[in-house]
Amino acid sequence: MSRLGRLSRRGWTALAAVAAMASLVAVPPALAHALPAGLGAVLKGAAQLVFSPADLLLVCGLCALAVQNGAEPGSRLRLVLPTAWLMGGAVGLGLPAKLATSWSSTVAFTLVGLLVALAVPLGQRLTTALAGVGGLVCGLAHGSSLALHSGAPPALAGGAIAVALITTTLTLALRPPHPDWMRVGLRVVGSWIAASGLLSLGWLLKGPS
Amino acid sequence: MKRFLAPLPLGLLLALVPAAARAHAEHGDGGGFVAGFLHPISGPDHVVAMVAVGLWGAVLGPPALWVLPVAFPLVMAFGGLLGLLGIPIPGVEIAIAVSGLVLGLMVLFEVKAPLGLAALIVAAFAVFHGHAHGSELPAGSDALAYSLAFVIATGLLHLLGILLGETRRWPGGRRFVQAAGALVALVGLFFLERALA
Repeated sequence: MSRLGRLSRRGWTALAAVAAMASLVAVPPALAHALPAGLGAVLKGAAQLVFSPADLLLVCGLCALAVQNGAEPGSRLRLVLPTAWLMGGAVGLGLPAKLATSWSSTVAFTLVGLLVALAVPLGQRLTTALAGVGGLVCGLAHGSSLALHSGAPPALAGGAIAVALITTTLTLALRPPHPDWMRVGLRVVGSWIAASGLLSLGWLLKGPS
Repeated sequence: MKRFLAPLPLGLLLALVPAAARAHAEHGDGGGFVAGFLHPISGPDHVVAMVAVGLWGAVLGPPALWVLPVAFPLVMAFGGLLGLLGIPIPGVEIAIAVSGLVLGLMVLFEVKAPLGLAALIVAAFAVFHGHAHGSELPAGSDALAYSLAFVIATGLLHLLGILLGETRRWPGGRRFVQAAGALVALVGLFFLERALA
């Protein structure tokens, strides 16, 4: 019989206690609500857009404006907006500090919402130019906010991919010709975006209380 | 044994009245959105007026059917802006009550006002509703999430009114909509009496 087999009952108990203590000491961290794998830089960039209501409203508003002005502006938006976003972001990554954009982004999506609510016929060029400027400015702000963090370029790419996905989905789903209810629905959404912007401007004017 | 079990009912009773668990308390974007969504639907005087806008739009038919719900949030937000900035407008509570009364009567008597006049009436009332909301907005919420939810809730109330108004297509629907208008007018009258008291 081996020496292990000859351990008394008391010895087995002591051994079990030592094993239990060792397992307590070597316990892995409890990660109930943690994300041990992380989202990764690309997904973080995409998430930043999704959880920035002002940027999201601007992207949605530009999509509504484009499809209101015809199928061609919608197609152009799918290319112009993500590209402008990426270009603006690349410039923003080189900035030394984060840009303060509360005012500019609120004014931008309020104006776009108003244009949608009033169904202003802008034409292809103006709609595309507006999308380009909006993408550049938002991308610049997005890039400047990422500049001081590690993994900034992939995060910027993630943001641009999210813009491309949202733009493509919305412009394809809402492509003209529009039935009456959709024309009205787009204008209602525009008025909601503009109204939210007006109220937000009020908050900004009022300042922190 | 009996003595051992004696505190049990008390313990069970206490288990039914726990203090609020705040592990996922509403603050930031989520809290702002929830608070903003609940704000317009928590005041009956506002609710009936918003529903009446949709009802009257349905009575008037296109294009008023969609012009009123497009115009209302914009003008209401302007009123909210004035309220947020502390710019006073006299008689806000009276005007809100009158809005319920007037819009209810419009629906009750199926008043076919011209589009411009209907938009003007609704826009005028929207300023007062917006001002009241703007003056009551809580500090500390996420401004944009609150504003967006606030506008969406108002828009959904209009949509509810439009849907109720569309029952006019069915037999008996016209009477139902008129009855809804009468109810709105009565609620408006009740709040007017309270505002004047």
